[in-house]
Amino acid sequence: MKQHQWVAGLAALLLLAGCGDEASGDAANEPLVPPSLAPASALPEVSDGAALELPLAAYRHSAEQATVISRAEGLIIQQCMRRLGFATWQPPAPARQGRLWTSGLDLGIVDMEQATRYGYHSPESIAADAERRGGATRKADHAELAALTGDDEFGVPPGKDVPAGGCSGEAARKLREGGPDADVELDGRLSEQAGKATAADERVVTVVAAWSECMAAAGHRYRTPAEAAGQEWAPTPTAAERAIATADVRCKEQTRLPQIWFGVQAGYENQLIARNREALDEVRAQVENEVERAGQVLANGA
Amino acid sequence: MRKAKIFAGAAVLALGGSLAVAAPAVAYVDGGYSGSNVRIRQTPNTSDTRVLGLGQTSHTARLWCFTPGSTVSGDPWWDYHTNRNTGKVGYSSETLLWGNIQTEC
Repeated sequence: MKQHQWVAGLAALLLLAGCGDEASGDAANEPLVPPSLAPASALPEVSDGAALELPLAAYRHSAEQATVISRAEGLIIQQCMRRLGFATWQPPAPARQGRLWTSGLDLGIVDMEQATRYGYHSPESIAADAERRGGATRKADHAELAALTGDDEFGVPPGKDVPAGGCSGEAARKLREGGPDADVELDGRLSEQAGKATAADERVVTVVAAWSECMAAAGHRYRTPAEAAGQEWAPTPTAAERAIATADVRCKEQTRLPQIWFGVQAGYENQLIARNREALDEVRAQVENEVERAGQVLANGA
Repeated sequence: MRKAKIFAGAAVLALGGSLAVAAPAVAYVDGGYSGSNVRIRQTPNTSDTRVLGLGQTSHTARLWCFTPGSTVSGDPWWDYHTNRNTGKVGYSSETLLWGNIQTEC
């Protein structure tokens, strides 16, 4: 619900700013047009997980839908695993949506507390690493992994007719039965295309340069946020890393880089959605079909 | 030893007259991507140019196991996983994923 409200608000904002990027038919292959943008001061704040609110996210599962699908797939996988001889195999409980520690956009972190405490490290990865060093790990059973994934890198269960993609692949196919044969990678390709157009957009290039100048004034020389975040950091955050990350977020706040980046990327995504409406409608129909099928599986058993 | 056997055997252990519940083995963990356009690679290494697909923040990922690989932002761990939206299977750096898998590949 929150996502749709946010996207609707953004769409209205962009339209108010004169952004009418409707395109159709043969326009699909034309170069993208720099979208109009409201003044930076009028753009919404960008926080952790902002990428979940981009227009193309409307063509993917919501967190609630993903949970329903996960539970249904668990049931189907369990039946498949039992068929393959893993009689006591149990599916795990569905995970809750993790807290995203960056914007999810290519510009990286935007939260000052994250920068101060963890620098450019994922808090969850630090915790996972500590668990591993504490001996919490177990070795994968490769026969089970082969049955689950169908990947022969893990061997082939002897005498078993493992379905393509393993039991996980079988579950995915069962949930897609009856739905349209949609291009499941389309939204990802369009996201990538919008991301590249955003990084090359003149307004973004200008504000990234302003961010770089701000960083230089603080004693840190980087051309882009990705360059700062992507260097070889120590296994755990050092004081130097945290200082750079803190300056990074402060400079983003000063230049309003995240707001401009998000607004521009949303504009490009809206253009791409307009140009690929029919194919994306199929993607959405497939998502809805999966959720409906998952509900049936949970109600009736796989 | 099969995890299923571990699960069955470890669910309840009688220790010195008291009951201790052991954590069951987890076959997989459902998680997701913490970044946009996350590369799903054939091997756990950023120098591997064989990119099998992309993960997006609102895609979900089924994490099967972890393994060491090239270090990304100080994190040496990569997860073998399936992008549940696209069906693509391969490795991505853990720093670009959420979900805590403690099963070693």
